[in-house]
Amino acid sequence: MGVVSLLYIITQIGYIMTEIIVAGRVIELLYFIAFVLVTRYFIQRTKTGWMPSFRHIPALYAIDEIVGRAVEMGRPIHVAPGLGDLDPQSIVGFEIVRYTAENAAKKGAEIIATTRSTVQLPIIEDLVRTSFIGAGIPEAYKPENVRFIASDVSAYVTGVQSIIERENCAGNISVGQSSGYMFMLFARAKTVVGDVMQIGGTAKVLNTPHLVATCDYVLIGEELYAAQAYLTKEPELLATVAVQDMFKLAMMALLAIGLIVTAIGSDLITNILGW
Amino acid sequence: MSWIKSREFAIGLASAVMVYMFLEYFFVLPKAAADLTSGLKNLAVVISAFAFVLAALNITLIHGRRVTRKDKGWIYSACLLGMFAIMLLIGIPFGTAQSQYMWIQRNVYTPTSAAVWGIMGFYYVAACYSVFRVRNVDAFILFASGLIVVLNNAPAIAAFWPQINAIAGWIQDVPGTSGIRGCYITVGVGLVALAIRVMMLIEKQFFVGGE
Repeated sequence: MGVVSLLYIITQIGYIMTEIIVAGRVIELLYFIAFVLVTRYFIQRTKTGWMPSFRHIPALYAIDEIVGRAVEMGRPIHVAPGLGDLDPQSIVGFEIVRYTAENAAKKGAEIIATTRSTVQLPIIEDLVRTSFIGAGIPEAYKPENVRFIASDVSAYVTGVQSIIERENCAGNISVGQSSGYMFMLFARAKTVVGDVMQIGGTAKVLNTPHLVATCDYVLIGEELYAAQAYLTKEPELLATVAVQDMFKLAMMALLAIGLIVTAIGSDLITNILGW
Repeated sequence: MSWIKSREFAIGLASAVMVYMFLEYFFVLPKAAADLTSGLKNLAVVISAFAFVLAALNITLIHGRRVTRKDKGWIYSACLLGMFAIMLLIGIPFGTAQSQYMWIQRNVYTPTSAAVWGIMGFYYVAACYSVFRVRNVDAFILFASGLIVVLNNAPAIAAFWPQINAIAGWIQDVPGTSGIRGCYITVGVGLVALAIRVMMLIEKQFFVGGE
């Protein structure tokens, strides 16, 4: 009797959920809730001293190398948060700009930050300015080194190429949205200017080969979204990266189950994912 | 009114919008909610338009300073400011559909933009040279698969060796597509993690400034 009641309650809950949740998004919502709960749990665990281990991502550590190199050579560094506006990749790009600017301010390197987005401009200005204030040298902040180039991608890329070449940049860091034009930017810095150390990164998979061919270090796909955790090493952020890995394993398990179930002629998994 | 400039107000406002957009995506909301959603989206467009003024000021100040100081490459800055002024003087009073404005667009902007894109081919050749150098087994696999796909796109090769179509198709459809799909899945998981970090206000580096 108890089991029947439980099944009835579950069915009723399922019915109510399909009434109030947009069709086709029930599983998405459950996935999201599960992600939040697991993240919350592991964040709590970090407060009791648990710390996930994480692998080395060379591209992120190379930022320090670029800044040090720029200081030694007495040349500026160009940094940009990609070609987007306020999309997720740009959020990561902002973190890279902030980290580079903080490092440059502390070590005494000149930084040139550019954007093609009018919406990004005030954010980048603030990030660079607050980095210099945080380093205790607000007078070293040069407003003219935070530049809006152009909204059009080809014009933006051409403008940044000229900055790297004319102002003799020692490093070029662009992490965020990318397109075929970004290949031209990195390729020109590599083949024409020559001694520019470059870090590229994008979650846009089809543009990743462009960066691999032209950059010294590359952030590939999901590495991008773990950038802040790796750079700040804050336990809360590292916990979310650990959860990210757990859900990747869950996805792989789901793929394997789906493969087996589909192979035996059932579309159960497909139907459930379509709820 | 100093609270408007505070960091807490910015975070509170952003959080409220985030929660609303979350509810709007997942739950069946009344019709009025759809109007609010489109209103918020329009507001985002309006704010972006305001940001254009900031960008115009940024360009004018930086390039104006370079021209007055006669810095290296100042002539290019002068050209930029000149073109900027011409586009503004024609575009603002007469509109962007005006014939002179369109003439500049068609005969100056489009050809230069196409020329920039055209230069890309040369960079591809240089990049191919550096990527396809066979230094180890991995590089050889990349070189061999890349060569087959490239040759397949040359009609003469496919005419002499029709089997190359099937080989190149297999390379693109099986190892290529499966690799890309793997990347898409992990990027999707990473994206959800980032969204949760932003919603839980763990990742908030873009809420800079304030008092």
